[in-house]
Order: sequence, then C-alpha cells, then structure tokens
Amino acid sequence: MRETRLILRDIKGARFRTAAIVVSVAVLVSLLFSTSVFDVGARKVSAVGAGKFGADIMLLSPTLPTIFSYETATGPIFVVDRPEGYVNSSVVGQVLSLPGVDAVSPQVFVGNINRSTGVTLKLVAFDPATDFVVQPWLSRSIAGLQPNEAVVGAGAGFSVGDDLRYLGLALKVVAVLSSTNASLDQTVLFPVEGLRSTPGITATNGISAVMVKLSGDGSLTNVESELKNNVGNFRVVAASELVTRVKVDTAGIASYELLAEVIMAISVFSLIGLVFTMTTNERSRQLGLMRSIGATNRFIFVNVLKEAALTAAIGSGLGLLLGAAVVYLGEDFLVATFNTALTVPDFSESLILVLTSVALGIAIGTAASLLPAWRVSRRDPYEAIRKGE
Amino acid sequence: MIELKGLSKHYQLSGDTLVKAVDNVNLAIKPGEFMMIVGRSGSGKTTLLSLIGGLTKPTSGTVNIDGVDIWGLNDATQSRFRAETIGFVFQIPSLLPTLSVLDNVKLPTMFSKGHDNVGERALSLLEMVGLPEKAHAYPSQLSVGQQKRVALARSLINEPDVVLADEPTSDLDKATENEIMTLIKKVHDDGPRTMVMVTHNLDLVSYATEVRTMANGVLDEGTRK
Repeated sequence: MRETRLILRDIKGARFRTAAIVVSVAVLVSLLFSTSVFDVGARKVSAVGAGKFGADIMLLSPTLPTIFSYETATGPIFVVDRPEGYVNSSVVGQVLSLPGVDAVSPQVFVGNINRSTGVTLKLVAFDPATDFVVQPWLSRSIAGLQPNEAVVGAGAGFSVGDDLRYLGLALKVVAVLSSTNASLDQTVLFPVEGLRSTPGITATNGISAVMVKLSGDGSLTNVESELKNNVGNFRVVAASELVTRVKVDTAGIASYELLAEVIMAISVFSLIGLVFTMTTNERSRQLGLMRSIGATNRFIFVNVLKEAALTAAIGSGLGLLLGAAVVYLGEDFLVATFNTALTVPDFSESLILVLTSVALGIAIGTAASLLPAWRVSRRDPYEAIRKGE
Repeated sequence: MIELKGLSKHYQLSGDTLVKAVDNVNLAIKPGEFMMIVGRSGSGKTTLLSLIGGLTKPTSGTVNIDGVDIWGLNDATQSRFRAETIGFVFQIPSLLPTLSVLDNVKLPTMFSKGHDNVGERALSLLEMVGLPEKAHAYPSQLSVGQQKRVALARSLINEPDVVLADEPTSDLDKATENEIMTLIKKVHDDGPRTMVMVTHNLDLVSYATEVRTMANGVLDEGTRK
C-alpha cells in the first residue's frame, strides 16, 4: 500500500474532520481572495482619486526682485497660468533628486486661444511621460501621446478628432478630459516635444512651471527648505491644507483594509490549528497503532503534514471559487451602495492574487498542523493508544 | 530469545506519588515458547507487553530480542525491527476504520522490506482466520470477534518471530473466545513462533507452555507448566 493512498483514504473516510478543515481553509481563502480583489480595486480607485487632487507644489520663476516666496493655492493645482518668467529646464532633475519628492513634471505656457464662443483657452505643453495631474482625468493612457496630438479640457468646446491651429502648430484632439470645475477645463494640452519641434512659438527653451508631487513621508516644509538651500529661488505655490489632508485620508483607508486582512488570517490560522489539534488527538490511537506496526516518528509527522496540505489545497480551491462568487456578487452591491466604480485587477494582478491566496491557504493549513503533528509524532505509542481509549 | 533484565516503568504523578507500573522484572522467554502472563486489571501486564514490544520506554532495564537491545536502537531502526520481528494483537479495536479488511492486513508491509505477493499472502491469512469473504468489507461491518481475527491476520503479514497479544479474547463470548484461542495456538504451533500473551482470564492458561502471574507491577515466579 502506498502512503498517498493511505492519506486519500483517511481524507475520504473521515468526512466530518475533512469537512471542518476544508471549510475553515475555504473561508480563509475566499475572504483573502475577495478582499484582495476589492483591495486592489479600491487602491486603484484611491490612487486615481488622489491623483485628481493635483500637484502638491508648483514651482514658478521667482518674482522680482529675485527672492524665494511662498503662497498657498486657492484650489487644486493642475495647470500653469501665464507666468512672469521661465525656469531653466535643468531644475526638473534637481528637484526630483530632493528627499521627500516623489514625482515632478514640467509644463510650458504657450499662449491663449480666443474662441469665437467667447471662451479663452490656455495652450499648455506638458510632458506625458512624467505627468501626474492630467492623466487622472482620462480613462486612456497618455504616455504615448504624439507631438501633434492634444488633449483638451471638458469646457474647451472641442471633440475628439477636431483640428486646431496656433501659429505654426497644428494639433489633432485625441481625448477630452473629465470635468474638473477648475481652469483645466479651459485648457488645451499637447506634448512638449511638439512645442520644441515647432520653431517660433516661444523665444526660450525654459519651462513655465514644475509640478511637484511629494512622497508619502515628504514634508512641505523640508522640501521648501531643500529647494531654497540647494536648487535656487522660486515662487512656490503649495496646495491648500484641506486638499493635502483629504489625500492623506484617502490613502489611509487602504492600510485599514490590510490590517483587517492580517487580523483575519491570524484568526483563521488559530482556528485551523485548533481543528488540527482536535483531529490529531482524535486520531491518537490510530497513529499509535501505526507506530506499533512499524511507522517511524518521521512517517507520522510527515503523514499528518501531507494530509493537512492536501486538505488545505482542496479547501483553497473551494475558497477560490467562493471568493470569485463573492467578488462577482459583491461588486455590483458595492458600486450601487457607495456609488463608486471598482477597478477590476488585470490578468497578471488576478493571477498573482489567485496564486497568493491558494499558496497562503495551503501554507497556513500546513503551518497550523505543524505543532499538532510534531506533538503526536513524539508521543509514546503506548500512551497514544491508551489516550485514544 | 527474549530477555528482560531489571525492567521497570515508573510514573511520577502529581506530588510525590510514584506509580510502579512494572517493577524490576527479569524474565527469559525461549524461542517458540507460548508465555502467558496472567493478572488482575491494573497489575501492569499491558505495560510489560508494551515494554517488550518497544511501545513505551522503560524507566530502567533492558529488553533483548534475539540479541538486540531494542531500547538501544534509534527510532528508525527500532521501528523497522518492530515491523519485521514483532506482531501485535491489541485488546482494543485496532483496525484502521478508513481501510478495507484486506488493506488493514497489508498495512504493516509499508514499513518492512518488500514482500512478494503481499495481496496473495494477505488473502491466505484471511482464509486462515476464516474471513476470506470479508476482504473488501470495512471494520465497521465486522463483529468484534471478526475484527480480532483480522488483527491476528495483520500481525502475521510480515512473518514475525514474536507475537505479542494483549487480552485478545476480552469482550468476547465463550464460543468466540475459543475460536480466537484456537487460532492463536495454531499461529504459535505453525511457526513455531514465540508467543507472549497477557490476560486476566485464568481459563486460558491451558493454551500456554509457560504461565507467570503479575501483581502490582511485580512478576511472580509463577507456575511452569
């Protein structure tokens, strides 16, 4: 007789015991999987939401006389207005290297476009590769935006496919931003490469503003001090405290979800450990009898672990199906209840979540049986047989 | 040859209470002998049998079987020795409930050197104990007497030199008791095997070639038949 057959018979024969372990692991895996899927979706929504608050700081050329000045913006910082001067483009790299800075992106104010409707639009060149203020308002990626392509604000009066000209510049509208209720709605944005390849529009190679995003632990005061001491004088426009506070709170929600998952994993680990302790005690006589006919300590230990791993694997598979069902049913409920769109993880994210959930289910099931398996394998066979009486 | 020298098993209970389950037992059992140890419940018979079979570690003393000090072996070697040299028949129901009767009989071969025709041997042992038609039944479908017979068949699958039987006829009616004892006698005579059996039933001593009595963990001189 092979050991595997013995394990399978035992799993099949002890239905209530197997069911208890399978259900425990299935509950764990289904909760892990479904909350992880929701967590990924919530983080994506959260990240997009946080991005919609704009930049933390906007750096402009210093006011005259050239001094370091500081002011607070009245609303979110999305796009530069007509500046009083230009900043050297080399500043972008210098600012990015400062501690507490997460991202920087340059913008160049090109000019105003007066439309026949009476609306005045701002024409701004930006860098799609480093941008973090425009992208959150679009559903498509702008990373590959061509030099002759433009994205426009919701109130600009253009539609996708429209052409627009400004001096020697010919642009085709490829996307319209969501409404921001800010000056971004009346802005036309195109890649800064398009600006450099069209001579005669601006007289300088400088940039109008540097949008700065602070890292999670970045301090406005520290960054301001670093700028002043190590980069140069600027007119610093900082986001209002209200905007900053909301960004921090939004990001903080995700950490509570993680805490809840950890607490749940510990609870289920303890539950499975308890179930295995009970089942190995229940099997005490059986395992003692196995020892009496020649099974070694090691055989008993490995046998219990293999059975636990196999049972946990079955539970994990079932848990995955349950978790998928929870995601399927829960998504509509959450969207309807909280009036927020959930972003479903892509294929690679889903694959990682599936593998992680199953691996965790098997690992926790096996780990929870380690101590009971070790204890029962070290038990004196005579005591094990008597204890089962 | 089984030799027990100064064999003791003591348990320290809470406080200063020391229970001497087996106390300084010296015994020599010749090959092919049918040794029966009789005594009342709690006299230490089962503990002594477990010490001989390597199922519980002695507090002191040695157990030598065919010149091998079984408590001087490591776990793997002792387990292999137990699988190949000793067959156990327990007082309690000892069949694995998840396995068929045939698989229960074959089970000890998992832990011994490869035997040819394990299936055929297991079936012939079931025929010997009169249960060939129950080969594919499960223990729960057998009577207590039938389970004891299957356990006896299982104890023989690795062709051990020694069979240790712990109250093999307890909980059985007189007729079934006689059937089991006839089988045990046959197992002893056919080997010939060394048989050590413990029982509280004095009616069974006639089956043995030597009888010893045990009381309070001490083995008396007993009556040589």
